[in-house]
Amino acid sequence: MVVKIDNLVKRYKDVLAVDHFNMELKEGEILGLLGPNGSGKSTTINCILALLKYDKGTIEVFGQEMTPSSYNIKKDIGVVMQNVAVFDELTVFENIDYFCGLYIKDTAKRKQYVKEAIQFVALEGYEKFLPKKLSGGLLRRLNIACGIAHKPKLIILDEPTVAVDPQSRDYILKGIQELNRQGATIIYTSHYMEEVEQICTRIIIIDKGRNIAEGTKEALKQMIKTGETVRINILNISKEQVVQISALPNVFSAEYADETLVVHCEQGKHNLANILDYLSQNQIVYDRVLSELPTLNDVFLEMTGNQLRD
Amino acid sequence: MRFKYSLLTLLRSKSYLFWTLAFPIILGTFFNVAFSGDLMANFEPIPIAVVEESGVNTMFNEILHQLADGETPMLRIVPATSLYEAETLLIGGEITGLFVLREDIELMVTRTGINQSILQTISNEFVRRSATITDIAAERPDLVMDIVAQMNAGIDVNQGTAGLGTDIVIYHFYALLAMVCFMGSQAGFKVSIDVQAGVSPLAARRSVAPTKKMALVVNEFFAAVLIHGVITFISVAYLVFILGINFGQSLPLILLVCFVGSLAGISFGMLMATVLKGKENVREATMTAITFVFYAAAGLFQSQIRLMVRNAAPIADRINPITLISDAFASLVIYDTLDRYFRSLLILLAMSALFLVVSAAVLRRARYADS
Amino acid sequence: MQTLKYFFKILNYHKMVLLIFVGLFVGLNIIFTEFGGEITDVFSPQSLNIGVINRDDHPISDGLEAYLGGLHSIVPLEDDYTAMQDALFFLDAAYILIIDNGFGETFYNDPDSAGLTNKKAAEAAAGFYVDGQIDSYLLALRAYLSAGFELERALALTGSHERVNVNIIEREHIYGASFYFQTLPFVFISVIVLSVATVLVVYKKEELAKRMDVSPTPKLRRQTQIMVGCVVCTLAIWVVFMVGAYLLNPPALTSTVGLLQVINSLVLAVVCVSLAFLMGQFIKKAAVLLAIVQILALGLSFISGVFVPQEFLADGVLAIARFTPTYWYIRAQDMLAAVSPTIGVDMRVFLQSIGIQLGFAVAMFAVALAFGREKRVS
Repeated sequence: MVVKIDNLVKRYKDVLAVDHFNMELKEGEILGLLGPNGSGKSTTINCILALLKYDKGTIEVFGQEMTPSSYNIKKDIGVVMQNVAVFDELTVFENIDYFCGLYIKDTAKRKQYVKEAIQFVALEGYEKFLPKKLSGGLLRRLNIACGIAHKPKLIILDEPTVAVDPQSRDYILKGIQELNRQGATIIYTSHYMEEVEQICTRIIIIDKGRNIAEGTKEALKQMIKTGETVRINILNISKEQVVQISALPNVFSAEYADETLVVHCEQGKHNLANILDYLSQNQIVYDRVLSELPTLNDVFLEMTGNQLRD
Repeated sequence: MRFKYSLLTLLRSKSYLFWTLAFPIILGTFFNVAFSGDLMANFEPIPIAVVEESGVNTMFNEILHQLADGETPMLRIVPATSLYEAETLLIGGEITGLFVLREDIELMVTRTGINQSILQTISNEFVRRSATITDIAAERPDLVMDIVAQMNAGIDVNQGTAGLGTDIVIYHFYALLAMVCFMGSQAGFKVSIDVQAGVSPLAARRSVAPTKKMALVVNEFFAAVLIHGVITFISVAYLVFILGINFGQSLPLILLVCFVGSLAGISFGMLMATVLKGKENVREATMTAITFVFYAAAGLFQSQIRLMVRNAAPIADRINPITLISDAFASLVIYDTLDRYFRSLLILLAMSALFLVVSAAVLRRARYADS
Repeated sequence: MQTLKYFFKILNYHKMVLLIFVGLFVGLNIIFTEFGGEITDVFSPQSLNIGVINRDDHPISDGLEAYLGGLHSIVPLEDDYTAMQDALFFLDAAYILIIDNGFGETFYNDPDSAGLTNKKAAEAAAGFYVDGQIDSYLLALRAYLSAGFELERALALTGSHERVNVNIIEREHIYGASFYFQTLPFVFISVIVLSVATVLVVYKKEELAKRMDVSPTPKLRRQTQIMVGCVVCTLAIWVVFMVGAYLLNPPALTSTVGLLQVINSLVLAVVCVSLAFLMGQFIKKAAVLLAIVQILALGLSFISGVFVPQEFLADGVLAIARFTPTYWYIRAQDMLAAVSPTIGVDMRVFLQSIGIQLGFAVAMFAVALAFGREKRVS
């Protein structure tokens, strides 16, 4: 067990930021912590890292209780924060070297690690650049390099791709998977479901500081009613017809707005076919048809009534 | 609307406001306490030595001894058996003055100063009175006793200050307020930096907004002037009501200086941020350095420096904004016409206008975010 | 030693800022030294610039004016309120005597009912001497008149009273104590705190601090290295100031007194860096730095006797000042300034001062380090 959180409670004055939160992280996992802004993700992370006091509960990392002076545990943890945390006054190389140096004392070993870290985030050629000369994406890569250069066993990334261009984002996600392949256990928090879906082996959905659901992405999607969502562009359809569509087998809701018919169906093989049949039979003209499998947003929506992204 | 937001942004930087206000209050209190010292409170008897080489002025020697006696002696006589020994004491600093009594009286000192002046006064008065008595005794010996009594009773003709004098201590308080006005230069600096896209990320974001740069600047600028003017005014209030410093009677005029002074400080800050090149922290340091030079030239640390500046380069004194602001405050108290007051304010306004025009010109031209 | 090594790199990035501040304050200190050495000019009654507004037309008034003219320089002055205020404010005249019309006549007939007015400039102390000189003249004149002497003769006699011969002997300044060191508290607090804090705030950036706190290098170790870096930086600044002192006046460093002076200043520098280090624990933004530095530098300097000598400060002020390290620095410096062939160095005062200053420094470093321990925030 890499991380074990048991009934964590953290209160900020009147607000309950973390509400009896539980989490177990096994070695080799990429655990996604998915929740909207303000759901308690960062707070939980800060508690794990012993940066924040909490009111109740226990946190164990590598089987031991985590405190600010648990130096033996800290050396195996790498952190990539939400906001870029680098020295404006130091170059790319110097930044990575400094932070790696807080973990690795052996100069030769560190030199090697820093070089590898720069290669890993593809910042070769930028070693002598100052942070202010880097674009947002490159800066994020530097941020990551500083967090992982010392090859930690546990890596915590707190919303690492906020305001990052798609190319860099992709790069970062692939990099994380590579780190995992190399043996790191990873906690990845985000409110972007696409990223979490893409790389996480297991996901915990969190809202208002509480566990909402947990499991692999497939398992989560099985948990909800929606098996499929069908969207069809229709110019004209009557209310009664919409009601009738909602009465079709496996359909549990149908709405029509802005010239789009949205039909939520449960799991089933013929949902789309049934709907299209109905439309043909009633001579309702349609053009674009889109059928989507449930997303984590759907999971979140159904479980909490809110969207992941506002 | 934008003005309101600019105002709010400034008001929320609590620590900045706090320390800017704390500065004049703490220092004002310190000044008050430091200067309230009575110069004569720690008066200690002046150490002297007397060497009598001829008997002519023995009476003076006796008088000196009298002054060294009693409960609150003015003098302390250090024994010296020879002139050489006495001179050694003098050079060594153990005595402040050495009286050598020959046919006439000679006073030897190593420098000018209060105590030396006191010794000089004592001896001069002695010479004068004994000469007078001698003259009178030669003609009207019967009146000598009365005249002596009359002289001892003193004279009260010179009745002191007509109208308000000036007080260098007070000047320090005015200069303090000038400093407060100039602390606004930091705010002005920020106003300019925040529209220089190459320097500040906030500015970069704003550059792409469909608002004219100038509109942004103007709003923030006036918000800064408003707030700083108020801070300065609160400082004045503290000095007047809690510490009892005199600022004259006219509230609107005082308020006017507060705002014009703040205007000058803030526009100076803007100028510095705009015209200087290089990293932001370097520009700010340069601005601070120049401000300190203003302070020094205004005599804030040592009044002699201001005199030196006035003598060597009078123009410099006339355009030193710190001097202008403190003079404006001072003239409300010292003069009975507003001539000087308005003159100072006018120069300040002209300087502010100049700073702003230059800043605006430079900011407008800068189009491309270039660092 | 990572943190220390990178401390210097961060310092290097800000070197222009440091250079500007050091340059500014060395320059200022040199100016202070050149102009502030003798504050006693303020009290010198030797010969002032005074103004005499003589509205009367009487031998007594003329006699008084002539008498004062013999002692001081009378500057031409218009009989106009603003002109007079100007003259006083700008110290063109230290004192203005106003003799109203009819004074002479009144004084001749009934001296005790005559009246004069005067205005004094900022250096009020000098003005009192002129008051005294006028009193002295009138006192004697009144005596002669009361004794029945004729006016002309009385005036002649009064005007010809001798003055005591004042001989100023040069005291050689070979002893080394220099006014340059007198103003160091103000200058050191300003430059050292500004410079050091500029670097210290860098470490306070929230995300950076977090990143460092989650590392296995204990905060105490990092902080200690930063502390060493600050001290080294301060020593460099101190050396620059010592070079300045040497260039101005070599004995300031080479004489015995000079050497002690230098040691005293080194200790002061250490006190200042400990203050800067302590402040660096609390200050998060550079914007407030200037205000705080000005408060500390000016405030401490004024109450410790840097700009106003200790002997002129009220007892209450000194009582408070005794709790500040700068007071003790000045005390030692004043002692050194008074040293002469006959008055030796008071080692007790010196050692006490050094000891107390070091005590402050150690305390401030300790508090700063204790304050900056790892802890969870609520």
